[in-house]
Parts: sequence; C-alpha cells; structure tokens
Amino acid sequence: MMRRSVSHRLPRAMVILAAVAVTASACGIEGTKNSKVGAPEPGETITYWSMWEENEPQATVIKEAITAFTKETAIQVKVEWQGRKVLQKLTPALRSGDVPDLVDQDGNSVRGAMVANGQHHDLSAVMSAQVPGEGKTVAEVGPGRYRDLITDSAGKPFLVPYEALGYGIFYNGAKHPELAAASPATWDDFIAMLDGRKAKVALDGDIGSYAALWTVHALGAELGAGKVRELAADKTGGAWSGPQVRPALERIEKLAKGGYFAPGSFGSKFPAMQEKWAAGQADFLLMGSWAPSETQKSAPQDFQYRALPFPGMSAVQAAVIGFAVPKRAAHPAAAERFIASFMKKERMQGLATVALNITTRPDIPAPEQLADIARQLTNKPVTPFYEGLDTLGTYPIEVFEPVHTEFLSGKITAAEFVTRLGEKQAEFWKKNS
Amino acid sequence: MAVLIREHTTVHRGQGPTITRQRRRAFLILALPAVILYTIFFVGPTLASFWVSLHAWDGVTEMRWRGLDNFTLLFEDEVFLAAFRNTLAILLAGGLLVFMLSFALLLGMRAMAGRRFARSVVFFPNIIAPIVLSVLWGFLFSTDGLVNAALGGVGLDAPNWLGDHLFLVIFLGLIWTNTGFYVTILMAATDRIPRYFYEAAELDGAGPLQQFRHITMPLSWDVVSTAAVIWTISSLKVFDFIYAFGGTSNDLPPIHTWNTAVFIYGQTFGGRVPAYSFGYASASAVITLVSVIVFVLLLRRVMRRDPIQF
Repeated sequence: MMRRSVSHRLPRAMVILAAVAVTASACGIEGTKNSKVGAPEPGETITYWSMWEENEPQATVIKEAITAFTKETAIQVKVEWQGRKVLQKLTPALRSGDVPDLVDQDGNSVRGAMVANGQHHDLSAVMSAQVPGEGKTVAEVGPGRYRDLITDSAGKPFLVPYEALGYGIFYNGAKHPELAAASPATWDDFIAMLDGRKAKVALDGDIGSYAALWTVHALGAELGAGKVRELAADKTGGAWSGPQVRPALERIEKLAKGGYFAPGSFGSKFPAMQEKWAAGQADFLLMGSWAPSETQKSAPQDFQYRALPFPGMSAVQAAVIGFAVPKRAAHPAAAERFIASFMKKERMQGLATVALNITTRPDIPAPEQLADIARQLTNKPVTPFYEGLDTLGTYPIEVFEPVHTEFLSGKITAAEFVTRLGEKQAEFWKKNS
Repeated sequence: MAVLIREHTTVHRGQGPTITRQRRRAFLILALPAVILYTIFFVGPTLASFWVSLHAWDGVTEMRWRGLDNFTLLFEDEVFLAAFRNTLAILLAGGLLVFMLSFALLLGMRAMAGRRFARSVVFFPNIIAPIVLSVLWGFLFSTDGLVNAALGGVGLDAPNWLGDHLFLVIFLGLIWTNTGFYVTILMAATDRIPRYFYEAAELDGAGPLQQFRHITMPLSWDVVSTAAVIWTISSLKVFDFIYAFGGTSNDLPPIHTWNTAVFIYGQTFGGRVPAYSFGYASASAVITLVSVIVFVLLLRRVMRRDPIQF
C-alpha cells in the first residue's frame, strides 16, 4: 500500500534527491530571472492536473475556458481530470520532477502538499497581472480579498482562488420566513430563537470535523481570528485552561446538554442527518456552502435554502479553491497566463450558473441558494476554515475531534474537555516535536 | 474405523546428472521473470520501507535521519497502540470466531439438503463491496434503525451502536463477510473426504462431533492450516471495510476504529489535509510486517502435522 507506492522509487532516491537538490536550487535562482515568465511562447503546451472529474459541471466550465484560451494564445492545455486526490497523486511527482504546470485544489490542501515543503511557485505576478480586457488586476477583481488564506510564510500568494466556500447555519426559508429579516445577532439570541421555535439542529456527528464546526466557530467568535490555532499549537496543552476560552465552551456545553441536537445526531452514519434536515425532520444545519447541492435530492420542491451567520461572529469561516503552479513546472509563464485569462468574468461565470458555486468575483451573482453565504463572504472579513486547525497535520483527527465529539455529545463537561484535550495535545506535540 | 495411510516423503534419487542440470536450468528460466518482478515490486519496496522508517520524510524533500526514534515514539503513541490492539483483536478474536462459526456451519451443512445453495448464501456477503455494506449497516444500526427497533420491540434497551460501539459493529461485519469465504474453502476440503469413512464411523457409533474430531479435522488439517495463514495475513491488511464504515471520501474514520493499515494511511495520504509523514508511517508498516511474519511462523509451527493421504 503506502509502503510500496512511496518507496519503489527508492533505489534511485539518492541520485534523484541529489539531482533535485542541485536543480531545485538552480531553478529557485532562475525562477525570478526566467525570461519566459510573463512571456510564454505560442504553441507551448501546459499540463493541467485538475481536482475535478470530467463529468462534473466545473469541468465543463473549465473545458470551455481552455478552448477559448487556446484560441486566443495558441497555447495548448493538456488536462488530466485527476479528481479530489490530485495532490496525493502530485506528491510522488514532486519528487521525481515530472510535475504538471498547473494544479487546483483547496487552499489548505495545497498548503499541506506543496507549500509546507517549499514546492510552490510564487504567484505574486499573476495576482498583479491584468485580467485581459478588464482594466483591473487579478487581485482586484476578487481573489485579493482572500489573501490571508492563500499566502505562504513569506506573505507570497501560492494560490489564485476561483471559488469560495463559506459556512453558515442553513435552514429552510419557507419554514422559517421571518429569520431572513431578523437573524439572531448573539449566541443568547440564537438559543432563545431555538427555544422559541422548539427547533432542532441536525448534525452528522460521526464526522468529527462537522461536529467540531460548532465549537471552533464559537471559539473563533469569542477569541477572534487566528487565536484558536494558537491554542491548538500550544505544546503544553495548557492554553485551553485560560479564562478567555471558558465562555465559549460553556455555551457549547449548554447546547450539548440542552437537547438541541436532533435525535440520531451522534448515532447515525453520514449523510443520514443532513438528509433528515433537508426532509424537514430538523431545522438547522451548520455546514459549508456545498450543503444545498448535497441535500437537494432529499428536499421538497418548495425548500428555500437560506443561511444564518454564526451568531456573534464578526468574520466568516471560508475556504477557497484555486490554481497553483508547482515550483518545478516546465511552463510556469504559460500556466500563469492561463490563470489570468480564467479570471475573466465571462470565463468564471459558468462556475456560478452551471456548477452552482460561489466564485471569488463578487460581481458574479451567486446561485440563489447560496446568496446568504455569498453576502457574508462579501461583507465580512474571512478567516480560514476550521480556524486553520486542519493544517496542523493529524492534530484534528488524533487529538481534537475524538475529545470534542465526547464533549458535544454531552458525555463530558467543559472542564473535562479542557483537561483531556490538554493532555492529548501535550502528548501529540511531544510526538511531533 | 478405516485405516488412514500416512504419506511418506519420497526423495527421488538416482536420476542422471544431465537431467538434474536441465531441470534446474528450466526451473531458473521459468522462475526468473517472477523473481525479478517480485523483487522489484515487493522485496525492493519492503527493504526501502525499512530504510525510510529510520528517517523523517515528507515524500518530497530530503530525508532526515532519525535512527530508531520513529519506533520509540510509536511504542509510546496511544493512537498507534490502540490501532495495534484493534489489529490484534481482529486477528485473534476475529479469527477464533470466524473459524468457530465456519466449523459450526460446516457441521450443520454437511448432511443438509440444498447445501450448495446454502453455501452460496453464506458466501454472498463476501462478494458485496464494503461501501454497500456500510450504507446498509448504517441504516440497520442507526439509533432509529431496524436493529434497535427490533430490540425495542422485545423490550430490550437499544444501544447507540454507531456512536458508542462502532468498532464492535465493524468487527461483527468483518466476521459476517469473512465466514462465508472460509466455510467455502473448508467445505471444498471436506467434500473430497470419502463418504465411507463417515459411514464406517456411524456403524461404530460415532456421533457428529466425534466424526468431526476424528475424520473431518484430521483429513482437512492441511487446508485448515492454510486457511489460518490466509486469515492472519488478510486480517492484518483490513482497510477498506473500516474506512467505508467510519470515514467519507474526505474524512478518516474515528481513531478508535483504526487498525494499523488505517493508521498508515492516516499518517500519509488520508484526511482533508494529509500528514505526509512517510518515515513514521513506514515504521508502523515495518512493525505490522514483522508482526505478520511472527504470527505466520508461530501459526505454522503450532499447526504443523504430518499430512494424511487418503
């Protein structure tokens, strides 16, 4: 399995690594001086490994953009529809040097697979390049807004995002029409609203990261951007005992023990609960903007997808999907040109109209069922999905989620959560130091 | 009781040196492609993983030497130790249950009418994709599923199977899917035992259990011991079943359900943002491999008997 796939190249490893070390450093120096950057040759062919499957609507939109790009520039784009595991397939290629010129995936995944090991290309030039025919730069038409989610430790962008994913508390607007005008502003308002309506919250609690959304959002709302990740990165685990953490955990403890979660939330298999929510057996679902597309088959005809912002949160958790260029790509300039061309409004429009996603251009209206999420993404500061905990290796699955699911399902108290999490976290960082 | 003839090992000697040489040459020529392929795709990577296990490596940049640190950490890593315990539970408790059930079904089905049909029914779970089973069992074992409805119907407490006992459900699923496979293998072995042994035993007054002990077991022992080795190796490699039950295309199953195979995946390519810890994962793979070798050797030794020819 892994043992075989990663290591069958090993007999050549030493030679390759030595060669890579020499050529990589040479490329690194050349990268900034490369006369080809910004001036690709017509007739060049770039290789693009896509995260989409060929039968997905996003692929249809990208194919049309490629056809138009090739017609304009005479640069060919060879696409391999790799699917969601594209970066896992890229990892061995990064070592061998036979890399594509262009890949796409969500920002955190690219950070883990390419940025953590320094295999990404600085995309500053694309961000400041003109979008053909629009008189604005790529950053200005929208992607620049997500800068905090797409920059490396040196502050350079490693991704040019074309899709944005936001989180919200989804509900059926037809069932709760008055919420659109009067969404609960604070946590207390939110709980009062649940009590008033005797409303239930659906959760597929078998997915640890879905359960964690509640507590991580509550902590993010209480502490502000970036602070939850600092708690998780504390090597002693003691940071969770701080007084500033307590109010958010007490709120979640009341939610957990108050019977607000719909029956089965911690005893069924994904996607049972979100299906029940869509079928009207629960009222609210804290989820990412893919919720409508995943649940619409179970929802009645008159279901109106609406989403509340997380109460008390001044920012919105977001993730982005976009293009990245491997450091050792053979045709980085042509790949950059393709990215800039894809950012044209006419090219990206299909992502909203055909693929029903939110694009990173605020001037492209979001699909109706995602309008509330899109409004949040436009009006509020963005903070990384999961507050960036998913960039801490196996921390979420090994440390946070097991303890947290016990907490959210009401098996342990907030104080026990803090103690157990602290202990597990200290062990984890000792192991990973 | 019929007399069983013990096979004697026959050493063929006295053949001419030319024939021996030709045979040896033919053997080498015929075996060479397999040996080369096996070396490239199995032995080489296995040795390489021993080497990688002594390093910290993200799969892309240069490896950093860690000596035996990965192994020391693994033996202190609660997640790995829990995964290893689960692996042993599947191997030992699961194996015991699978073989006990297989023998029980064998006894029950030996003389029954329509045994071929029954064998197909028992084998059926083995050919269903784990993902299909996981969906089906998700419905069966959810808090408002059929199992709890049935338990509630007879006045019993309904446990939260998927929330509190997920590994048990996975464990039972593994037993259920695998038993049919071993019943089929063992039945094929017992089908070749001549009926007159059983007829003679019956005349001598032996009951079904005595027949099983004195005829079925000794005459199918070589197949039983091979089946035990197959179980040992396959149980250590269980992966898709656990993953389908507890995870999604993006999310790993909860850690309390992991075995060492899922642990290896979790340390490399698994999860929303994979860890790419190839050195650490290789160390756990090495421990798993060594465990397989030790268990197979022990099993072969414990189950060694002289084969019986009949």
